[in-house]
Amino acid sequence: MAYGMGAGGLVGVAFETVSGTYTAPTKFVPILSESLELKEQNIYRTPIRQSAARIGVVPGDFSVEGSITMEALEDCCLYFTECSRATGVKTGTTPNFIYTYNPNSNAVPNKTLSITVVRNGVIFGYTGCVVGKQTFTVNNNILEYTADIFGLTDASPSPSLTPVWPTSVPYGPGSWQIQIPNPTNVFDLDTFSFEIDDAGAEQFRLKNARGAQFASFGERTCQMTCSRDFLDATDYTNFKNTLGQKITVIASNGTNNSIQFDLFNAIKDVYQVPLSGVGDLIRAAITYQTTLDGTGNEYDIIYKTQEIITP
Amino acid sequence: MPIEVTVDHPEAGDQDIFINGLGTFRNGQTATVDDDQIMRFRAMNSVQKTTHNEDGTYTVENELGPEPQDLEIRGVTIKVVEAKGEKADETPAGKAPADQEKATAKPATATTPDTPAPTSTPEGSDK
Repeated sequence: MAYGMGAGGLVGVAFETVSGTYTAPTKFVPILSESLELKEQNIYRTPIRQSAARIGVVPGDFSVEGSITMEALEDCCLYFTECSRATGVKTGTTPNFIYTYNPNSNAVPNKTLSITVVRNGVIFGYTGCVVGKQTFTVNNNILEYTADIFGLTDASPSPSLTPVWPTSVPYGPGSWQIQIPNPTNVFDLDTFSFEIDDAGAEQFRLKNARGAQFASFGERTCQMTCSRDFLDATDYTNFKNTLGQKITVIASNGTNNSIQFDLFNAIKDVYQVPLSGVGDLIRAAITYQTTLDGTGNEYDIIYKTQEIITP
Repeated sequence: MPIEVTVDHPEAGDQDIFINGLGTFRNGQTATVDDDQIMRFRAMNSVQKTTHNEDGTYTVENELGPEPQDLEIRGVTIKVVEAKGEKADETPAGKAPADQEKATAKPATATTPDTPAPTSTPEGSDK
């Protein structure tokens, strides 16, 4: 044994053939941080028995919860979005593919992930993982992606692990095309956060083994927050009139490598434009909520990549 | 002895992959890695073992990592380059030398970790 630090860690993922059965990683994902943990729901006994102390514990159910934050790389985010509440369609021809994800209304995802985390040489294998919430945000001038994970258990596997890492690059300054409304390009945003929350949760059932039975989804909320230069009253008037607009954000590193997401009918929910200081630019802090547009579309996420998966 | 690294990763498509300590390789191609890089690979993958003593002190030993050809890496085949008069060896997928297919890709020198990674170019890469 030896002391360890985060630099030596790694995260790998694989689609499970059978949900909940550990699968060794097929894709290694460079991450910024992760907080996956096995959460136990032990039952501590406090019967009235001449003592105020807990007299014992009954092992409870357990499940996996936590989040993974990474540089948004199109070939890596793809794996997590595939295990969210969305249906993927693959188009394009070798070597360049386009994966388009549209939300669905299913209770469970189409696929689950086995997520392998190595911490100080110890292998943790979380199974049955689904992505209950996804967030794209600009941090330190690059696009970052956070997946909130819900899963079943830690299989404590011992696979042979020698990772091969992707060489795709993050999206930074000069990568952006922001259209509010689509297709009008705007140049007044300096940051945003786009969040899709499908209210993932573990489901426990009475059975002959401890642990969650499956992970499911609930009611979806989809929102984007951003700060825009306040140039005139046009956008503010749209806010007062609860006018929906289509928003498109494209982060591109070339014709065949990009991440795009669309909010088809974004309603401004919050519009704050304060006089915050003598030397401060006047900017509007805006929160958009999405609803369905006239054709039934809410949002989509489009990955252009050379990565090969089968949605 | 130098090794040949052949990458045939089923999911990577037309992309480069990076193996920590060995370098960057194009999927579908074969590249040669020299002895110096192999030693760096073993050093970068060395394992530290700490022994705690009863008085609270501890000692640390460092064990070099395995030879690359002894590893099982998904989508990657590594074989020792055959020197004159010696037989080639290969990753534990374990084909006998007579059964090995000839590498069809043109060998290229692997990128060492000291070389600026090709991923940093502002324009990215059109593929």
